[in-house]
Amino acid sequence: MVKSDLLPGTLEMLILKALQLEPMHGFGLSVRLKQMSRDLFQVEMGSLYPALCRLEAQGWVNAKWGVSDNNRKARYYALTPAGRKQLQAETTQWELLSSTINAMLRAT
Amino acid sequence: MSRLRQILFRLQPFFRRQKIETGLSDEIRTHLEMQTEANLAAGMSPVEARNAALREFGGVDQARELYRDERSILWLENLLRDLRFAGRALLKNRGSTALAVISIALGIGLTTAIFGVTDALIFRPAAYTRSEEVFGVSSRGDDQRIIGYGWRDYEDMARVARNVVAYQRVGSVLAGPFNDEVVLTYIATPNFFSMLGVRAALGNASLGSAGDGRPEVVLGHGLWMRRFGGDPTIVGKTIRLNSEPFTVAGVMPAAFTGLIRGIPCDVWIGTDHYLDSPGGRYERSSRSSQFEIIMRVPPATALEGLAERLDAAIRGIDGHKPAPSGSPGTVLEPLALTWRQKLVAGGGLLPVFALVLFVACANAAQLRLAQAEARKKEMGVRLALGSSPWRLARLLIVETLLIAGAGAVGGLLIAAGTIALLNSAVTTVSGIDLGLNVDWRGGLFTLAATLLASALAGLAPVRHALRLNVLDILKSEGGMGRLKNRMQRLLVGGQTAASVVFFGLALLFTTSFHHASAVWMGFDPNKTMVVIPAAPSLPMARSAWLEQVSERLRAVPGVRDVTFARRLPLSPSGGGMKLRIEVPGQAPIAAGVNMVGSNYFGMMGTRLLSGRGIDPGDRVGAPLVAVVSQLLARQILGNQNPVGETLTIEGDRYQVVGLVEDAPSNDLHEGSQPFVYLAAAQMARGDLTLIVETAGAPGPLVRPLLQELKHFDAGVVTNGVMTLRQHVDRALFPDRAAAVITTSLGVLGFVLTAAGLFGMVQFSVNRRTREIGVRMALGAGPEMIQRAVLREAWFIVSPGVIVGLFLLGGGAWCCQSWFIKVSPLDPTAYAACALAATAISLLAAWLPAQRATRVNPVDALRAE
Repeated sequence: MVKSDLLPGTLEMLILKALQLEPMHGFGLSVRLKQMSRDLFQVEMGSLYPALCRLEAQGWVNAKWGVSDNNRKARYYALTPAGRKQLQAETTQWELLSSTINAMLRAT
Repeated sequence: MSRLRQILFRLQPFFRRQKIETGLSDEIRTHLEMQTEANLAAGMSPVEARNAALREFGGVDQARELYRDERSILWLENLLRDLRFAGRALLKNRGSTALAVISIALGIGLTTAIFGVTDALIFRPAAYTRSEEVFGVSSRGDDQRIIGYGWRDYEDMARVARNVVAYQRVGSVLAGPFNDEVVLTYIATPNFFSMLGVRAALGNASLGSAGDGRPEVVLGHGLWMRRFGGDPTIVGKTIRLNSEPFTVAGVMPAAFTGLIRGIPCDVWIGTDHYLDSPGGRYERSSRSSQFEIIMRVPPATALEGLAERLDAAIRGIDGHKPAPSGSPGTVLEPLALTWRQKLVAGGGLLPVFALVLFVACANAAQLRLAQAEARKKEMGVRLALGSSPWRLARLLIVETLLIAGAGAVGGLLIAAGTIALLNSAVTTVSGIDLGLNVDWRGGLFTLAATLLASALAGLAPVRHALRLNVLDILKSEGGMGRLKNRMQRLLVGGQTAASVVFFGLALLFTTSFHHASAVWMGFDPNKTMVVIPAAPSLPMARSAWLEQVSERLRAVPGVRDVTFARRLPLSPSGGGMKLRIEVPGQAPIAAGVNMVGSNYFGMMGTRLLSGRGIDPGDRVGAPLVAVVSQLLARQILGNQNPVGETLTIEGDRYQVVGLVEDAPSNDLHEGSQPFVYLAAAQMARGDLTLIVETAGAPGPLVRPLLQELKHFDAGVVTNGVMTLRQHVDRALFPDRAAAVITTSLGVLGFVLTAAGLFGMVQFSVNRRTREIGVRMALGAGPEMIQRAVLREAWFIVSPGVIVGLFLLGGGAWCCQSWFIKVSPLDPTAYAACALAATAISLLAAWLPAQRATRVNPVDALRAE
């Protein structure tokens, strides 16, 4: 397990991606992120919740209180249409950035 | 939109803190429980599961804090918290805080008031457009007197240049339903307003002929409010000036009161009408100096060339107007103050502002330092708990800003009040409306002064805080750094001296004012009388008019008696008239003169020493009579009784029928002059004032009297009708004003000084707590400590008192011509001053002295 210091922007992008399919609560998100990264990323709650707060402030994510499978009161985060657009934009940007950097590293 | 949304989102914690906190706690708890469950399902024991969950979560409190930081506006939260702390800290030391606020309020208030006055007089830009382009055309004679221009000159100039305006300033009589008013009138060429770029606030700025053929008039704002109550339908109505009808074309905005600051113009009428009227007809072809000429000069025009052309135009080939000898002919001078002149004036005032503000801030800083010294334990603890020195400094800065803010509010109130007082005072006395008010420029100035005050007052304690050494404080050791003691002493000493000077002058002026009220004015000021200056208009003999008016007015219910005079003693004008009295064997005497009616002396309460006053029998046709004053009698005849003697006054022979006491004629400060009273009924012309004695209060009778007067003579012009009491108050006004002003300054000075002294002594006591503890432990009783503190205060103040008394001597000596029966070296006043200064300084030092005695020697000595 690699504890990484992700750039804040990257973490948010990943959260948006994780929420693409369905709304989730905080715990569910952390599990999903671990799953998506095949156990490589362990997000600290000290980073997750502030990131969720930022996303909520920007209006890319909606938060609502709901009931979990185990009848627990939990706060569910859902992607908004603006959030979907943002995810799209950031993904494109990231792909461009990473391919450029990869090309630069491969050059002799 | 998303920006707004973000801001609203971040503002939520300020209003729904509890809900958000609970929500977060719930969320975290749920998360942990879910994680624990997952761990349990994975096979861990309950305790292990819980611990593993906590570990995986990371720091709970840290997460909470990071979330909170993200959730709200961090700097705003910190600011609010600082404000709360600062407020609490300031309220704990209510007295000290109050004194600091008062100091700053006084400083800011005074400087803002001074700024307001100079702004109105100097800084404010002229109310017409591009004032730097407007020039006055003038020429000066040999003796530097300005020579004006005639209408022909204006026509010549208007031919060679554009945007030339001519105007005259005259007084004309505005007729009213009860009393008339003399109003300041501009007779101006029709392009007056358009050249200056001034538009009417109501109606049109037009000076031609109205639709109904009557000439147009434009009203000034002040007159419109004062006389017509701000009537919005005034345009088109008719007013009568000098008995001629004019139609109101428009009203000027409040900002434009004419070309001279401080002298508001009441009405504008056009030259076209004036030059056709009987009064002005002859001016059409004249070159005598009745008009002033101004013009707008486009920028980048050579002034000399233009001036020469104008000059040539009026001198002309035909030699129209001879050039004044030895002078450069026509010159162009800027009309409004240039910015350079304003800068010089402002530069001159800057030291005054700076001084007043500096003193006020120094006092406040002293008080804050004293507080900081008392709180050094608290600061030390904060530092030890991990606060950065910058954080401490920020706290102190917020406190200072709060004090400065409160001081600014107080200062604005003080300034507004002072300016309102000044306004009403000046207008009451002289009719000049300076247009003083606190507007946005004053507000801006106050803001700047506040920031400056905070900086000055806040620097000292902040520097203090930044230099604190934690260990030293906790061990109750170590000095806080040598303080610039001498500077503080100088400041407080200087303030004491200034306060002593003002207070002393206040005492002298107040005594003088009381004497002024008690000076025998030559008449009884308590008489219930109405004074009506009037100019008759009926074409009858003066004496007949006076007789008939007196009869009619006597018939008005409530009137006891009526008499008349050329002017009332202590009137602001007309008192310079003198008549030449030939005395055989002596040089001729120039005597002051008044023409009075029958029973004048009896009614006014002037003492008749011998013979009689003026009688009804002294009228046209009867022998000329005169009543002389004591001084005149003595100068002519020595100690002999003058009654029965004959005097030659201005060539005519008068018989002296009475002798009266001496009395001041113009103001209460002058000595006696030789005076002669003649019979008004025997004089054909001149000013006239009716004097009506009433049975009860005179005020309610003013209107009925004026009505009756108008009934008899519809065209009579009355100006300045008032009761005798009002007349006397007006005469006393300068003395009263001087007393009030100096007293206020004295009191203010003492308040400031007390504040400064209090701060200084408190600081000293705080700093020497340990020393005081030692003394008490060694056996000094509370009275000894108290006395020591008070003695120290006295040593700070006494040099200031001595210097102040010397300065007071100098100042009083300079002002001595203003005092009535008060010696500039009056020992009572000086003693009172010294006593007051001592009392105030002891009072200021009392509380710190009390606090000093309450020091517990055990606490003070122990290292806590």
